[in-house]
Amino acid sequence: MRAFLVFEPHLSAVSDMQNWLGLIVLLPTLGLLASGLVPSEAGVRRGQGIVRWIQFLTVVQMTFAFAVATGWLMVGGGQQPVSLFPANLLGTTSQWFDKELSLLLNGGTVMMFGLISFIGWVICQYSTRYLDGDANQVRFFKHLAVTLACVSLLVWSGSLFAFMVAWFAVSLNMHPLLLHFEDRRGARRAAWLKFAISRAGELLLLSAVLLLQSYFGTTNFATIGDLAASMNGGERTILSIACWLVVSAVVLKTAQFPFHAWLPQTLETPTPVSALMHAGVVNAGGFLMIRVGQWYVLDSSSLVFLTAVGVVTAIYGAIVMTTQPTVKQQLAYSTIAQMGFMLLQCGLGAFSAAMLHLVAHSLYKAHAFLSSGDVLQDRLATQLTNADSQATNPFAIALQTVTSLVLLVTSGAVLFLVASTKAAAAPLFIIWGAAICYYLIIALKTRFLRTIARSLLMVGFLANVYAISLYATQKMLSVGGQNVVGPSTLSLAFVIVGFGVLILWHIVTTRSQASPWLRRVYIHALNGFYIEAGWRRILASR
Amino acid sequence: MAKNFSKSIAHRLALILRLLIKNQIQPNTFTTMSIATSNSTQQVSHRNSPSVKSFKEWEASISWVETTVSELQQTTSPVWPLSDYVAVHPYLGWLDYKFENAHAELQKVSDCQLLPAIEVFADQFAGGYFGRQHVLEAAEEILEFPAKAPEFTHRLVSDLLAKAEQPHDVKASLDADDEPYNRLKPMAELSDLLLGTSWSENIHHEVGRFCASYYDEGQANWGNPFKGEDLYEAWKLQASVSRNIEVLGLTGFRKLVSKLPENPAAAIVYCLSELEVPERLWKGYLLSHLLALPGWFAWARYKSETSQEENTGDFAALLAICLVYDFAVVQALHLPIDWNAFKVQLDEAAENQQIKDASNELVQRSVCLRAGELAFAERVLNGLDLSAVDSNKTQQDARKSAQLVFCIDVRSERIRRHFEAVNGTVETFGFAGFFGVPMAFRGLGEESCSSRLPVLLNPKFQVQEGFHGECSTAEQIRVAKRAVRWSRKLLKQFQSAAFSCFSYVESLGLLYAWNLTKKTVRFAPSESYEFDGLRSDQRSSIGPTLEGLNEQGIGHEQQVQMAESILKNLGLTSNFARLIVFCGHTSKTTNNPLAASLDCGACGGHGGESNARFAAMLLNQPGIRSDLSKRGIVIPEDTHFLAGVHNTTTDSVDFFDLQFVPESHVLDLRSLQETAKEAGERTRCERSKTFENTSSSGLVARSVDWSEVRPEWGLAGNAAFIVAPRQMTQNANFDGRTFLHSYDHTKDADLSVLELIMTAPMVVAHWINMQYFASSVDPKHFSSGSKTIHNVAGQFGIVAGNGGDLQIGLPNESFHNGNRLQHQPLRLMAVIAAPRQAISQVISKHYLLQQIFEHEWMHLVAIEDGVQFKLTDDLEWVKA
Repeated sequence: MRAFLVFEPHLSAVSDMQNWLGLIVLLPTLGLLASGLVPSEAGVRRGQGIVRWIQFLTVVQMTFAFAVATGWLMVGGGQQPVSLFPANLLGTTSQWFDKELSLLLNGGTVMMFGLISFIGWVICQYSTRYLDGDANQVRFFKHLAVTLACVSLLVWSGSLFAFMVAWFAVSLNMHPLLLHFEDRRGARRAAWLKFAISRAGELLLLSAVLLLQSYFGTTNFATIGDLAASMNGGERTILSIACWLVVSAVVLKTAQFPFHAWLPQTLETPTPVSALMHAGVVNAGGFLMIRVGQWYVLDSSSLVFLTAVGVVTAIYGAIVMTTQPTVKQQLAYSTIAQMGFMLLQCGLGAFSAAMLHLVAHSLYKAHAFLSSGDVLQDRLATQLTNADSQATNPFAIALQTVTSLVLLVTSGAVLFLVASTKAAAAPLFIIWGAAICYYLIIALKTRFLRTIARSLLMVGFLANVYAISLYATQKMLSVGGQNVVGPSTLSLAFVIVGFGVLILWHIVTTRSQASPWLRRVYIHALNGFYIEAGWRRILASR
Repeated sequence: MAKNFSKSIAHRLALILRLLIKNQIQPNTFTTMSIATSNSTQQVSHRNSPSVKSFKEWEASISWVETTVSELQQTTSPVWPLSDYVAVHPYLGWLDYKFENAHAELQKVSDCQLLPAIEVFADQFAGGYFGRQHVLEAAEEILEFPAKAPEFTHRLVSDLLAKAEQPHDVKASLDADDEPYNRLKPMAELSDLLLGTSWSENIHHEVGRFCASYYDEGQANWGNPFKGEDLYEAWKLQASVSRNIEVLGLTGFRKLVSKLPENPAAAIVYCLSELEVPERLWKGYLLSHLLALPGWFAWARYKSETSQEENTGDFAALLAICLVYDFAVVQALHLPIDWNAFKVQLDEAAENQQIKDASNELVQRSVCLRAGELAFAERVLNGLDLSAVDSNKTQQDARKSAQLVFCIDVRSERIRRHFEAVNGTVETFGFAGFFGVPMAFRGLGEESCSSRLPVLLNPKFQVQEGFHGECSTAEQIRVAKRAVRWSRKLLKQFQSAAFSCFSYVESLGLLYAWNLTKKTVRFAPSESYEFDGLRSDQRSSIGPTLEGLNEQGIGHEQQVQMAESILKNLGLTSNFARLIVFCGHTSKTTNNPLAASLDCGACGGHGGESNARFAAMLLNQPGIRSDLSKRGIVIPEDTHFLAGVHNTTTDSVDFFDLQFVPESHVLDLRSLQETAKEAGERTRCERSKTFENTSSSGLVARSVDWSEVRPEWGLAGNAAFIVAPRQMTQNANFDGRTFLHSYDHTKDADLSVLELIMTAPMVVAHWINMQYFASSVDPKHFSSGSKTIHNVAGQFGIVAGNGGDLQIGLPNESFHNGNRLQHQPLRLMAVIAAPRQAISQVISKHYLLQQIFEHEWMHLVAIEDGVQFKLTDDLEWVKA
């Protein structure tokens, strides 16, 4: 009960309402969950009714999500324990029930719930027309609804146990979505590979749950987090094992190298499913890491492992991505790389940066998938034209330069503010800075004054957006003892070396003359270094 | 499931049994492939001379292969890249066969279908598409003994009725269960059937990945470094490094590749002889490969012939590649092949052996198809006003207020009808949508240009877009455009480079929430990138110009000639109205990689706006008009040519270059604009009925909805091509199913116009018709599947899902609404209002036309003096 006591001040005023809050907030979510119970064989008209009902619920859930966010900001943020049902509703007060099925409301929940509800709404709206006339549209919507509901519950869950159950349910519901075109062999293969890897991940998580439950009597995130600070030797070992189990489960379930092979193969399913998976499901592992961040105060050895895996995955994904000739394969490998990067941030203990990355990537990737038919338009949009002169307005250029300088200074200040509290920030800022430098360099190379000025302004803008959103995320997430894990030297070394390699790689591959060995590497990279083929060989799947 | 399983077990048992017996009797003369023989050949043989062949034989084989491959290449349908996507006849290579025999011929080397399933016809029959009398008529036409027709009809109709009653799955009914040896097929497919492997899929993925990366036009950041080599060499280099197929189980593949001959033809012969394919099956075997991977072969055909060099040989190379994989499968799996078991007669004599007896389901399906066509023909021909042909009185009518020239596209039929209905003083024409301007168009400041004419022709000159105004402003616009494009490109590079993509996402990812919201609530004015760098008030001031034409050899004389031929081919040489509008068509859709397929095919898969504007500009030149009058075409002073574009997605009609409309015509223009608005609204209302639960405004919304898979029906429903004066078709409602070409045979003494129409627009219409036909009859082979798993490859094509073959047909969504076919597959019927003898004369001049009509890939009806005549398959005329 210690975790609850910490936040007693908030509780006293709104205690009664808070009892009901969970149920009220999650009403649309539970409605979505219930939609899954309607039989699929309902006729066409009934089917359309179900579709419209689910759409309505996603709108309500989104509204609620924003209301929760506003309310949460108004009460001053922090961590609010909420229970799913009022304890007295069931007539009994069970300690286990309180701990394991409690909901957790904090900055992470608010951000993720908002994100999921928003993405869910977008995908529902999109699928209405996109899958119009599809024989399986109703089935699709039902599984979509249940998946969304389960992800929402996952976001709210206050214990590892509840998290695990929700995660399992998400995965099970994604399975039929991946099999939307069941007669496509590729779809079946990908779905079952994902099935196998996910179950393995869940087994690891289950062992963590059992371990924690048997030693601490609870898997409540907050309780264990608070206990962690004052643990003795034996308990430390247990927690440390649990941490390793969680990290391994996250690696398995977040498409990390070499367990990523299913992700690029799941394109045999309609685009909205890809959008949902890449934006709302595959990143749950990162969210779990953010949730249990405090656990790693005592033992960050597993974080070093996570960093290493993250670095390898990021590099692997990024390299393979650049060789892929189809738009969706490119997006799939990009997701793998970005997931690696997110876990790398977690490994460094930079949980707020990871959170920002998670949300930003979700929005970006959902958009990228849903608009993946615009390839030719995008090509037209970036097609270069010619002009004989450089006719420019010096005043405009001066103005743009000054503005960008001002923006840069302010963002620099904010970033410094962030960095001063976080040791992990330094390598991440270096990576970010290197990327910005790259952008500036290619801009300068155009020797086109207008473009250079415009790019300068863009850099100022980018820096400001980045600094502000990072700062805001950090503010939203900062709760009690969280965020105190510092990166180990080894992790830092991994990241620096890894990204050094990646930058070198970029320089080498963009040179016009490709040496023979590089051509060979290209072939390996085009084939994803044969990991997908290897999995098929191992599982003997046809 | 269980049935299949037991079947495959039975196959395997039979196979093993056969092997055992053979081994016992004559172990040394093992006809099938075994490790021992293939190894020894490899050791003994050099690249150029496998032991089984003498050098002379080898040379002969190579030259046979070279000829055959180029023959096959000519008969393979090409596919155009997405940016200029146009409809292509998928059965181009089968025109040599009669339509009814082509099916059987196709079946020898592929499992694709040329005729709709009987269930489709059952639905059509129940839905009233055709009736008993049509079936009878069709039976009399098709059956060998017409006397049996009544009995046949009776049986067929009761069959159809029974089928319509039962619940049935149309899709499943086409999937005939496949016996291993019932037709020639790639050995990978044979292995899949015999052993339950998935090698054909794996190989298609492997080839697809290679081709997509080799032909990539800029999708991958790190482009394929082998692009400089030709296809075969590039593949060899890659295949000798890539482990993918070996990891999947084809051990020894790289070794095999390293032993391959240097050129594709030799590699083909090498594989054929290593596989021990009997020579009589060679062609069929090669053909089965083409039909197993139609998309990439179509692309290779396109690439072989449209690039700068003569013939890049990509087609032969791809064939060689496929054969090598096939051989590798046989080698690695020790697959025994009994070539004699293929019960296929590939010789030409087989053509006439088809039994036309009533129990044959194929005959039933042929009869049903014909019955549907007859029913449709009846509707169309009844709608025609035959008396109008000869009455030249209509020409003497009062001067029209406006004359609008539309494209022959079936979608123009609706809007033309409504234009005329709204305003009786408006006259419309049908003409190929590029208006006879064979141009390439280059946007303002753009570095590349695109062809704006039918894909089978080559552009004669390039038209530059320019700014109608001060030169300095034009240059400013160019600079601004370049700056905008550069900025986007830089951001794109920042977004996609290997190490900066993470930072891009962190910095800008959150802002995509705005994009998502905007597009979801459809508050997204779609961007038109051709206007980059322009202020909104400047947009109407850019357009095609006559600049630089002289330098390209298109001087005044040639321009006059072009203007003359436009008017002559159009049949508009007198009675000019005050306003004459060239109205091209375009489509407006978003998030649609196949957008070009909805644009004007006559303009090479682009909007028809530029051609229309160019034609109007040309005919407004006083110098050209005065020279035209010397040639006998007198255009009145007060006639103004105008350009317009019909947006087929929203049915709005926009007019261009209004700033050049003289004061005196402003009122005419305003009235025309009013008419256009009303006609557009009426067209939308009519069209909204073709969708379920859609209103007129709903159709407009579709054009900006990023999640819309059916923005419009395109040319679905097309079934007739009518070449006649408008008076003849004016009173009929053809429901947007007919191509309409204006033609007046009295003005065409030397038949040059008729010849042009029959060899160009009519053939194009036939291609379009056949694409819709093939896609809707056999979606599994000829459509590009569901749009929802489309994945744009290399910015030039589409693959489905994870990859594999290039998808070249229409997507299912463009001919099927989910419940039923929107496009009723019918062969095109041409109706030409001209003397029979004139038509026959044109046909006799062109082999292609003879082929099409003799082999019944298309039907033809002539209207002479108000009487209809049908063209039979002997190219004789009979009274209809």
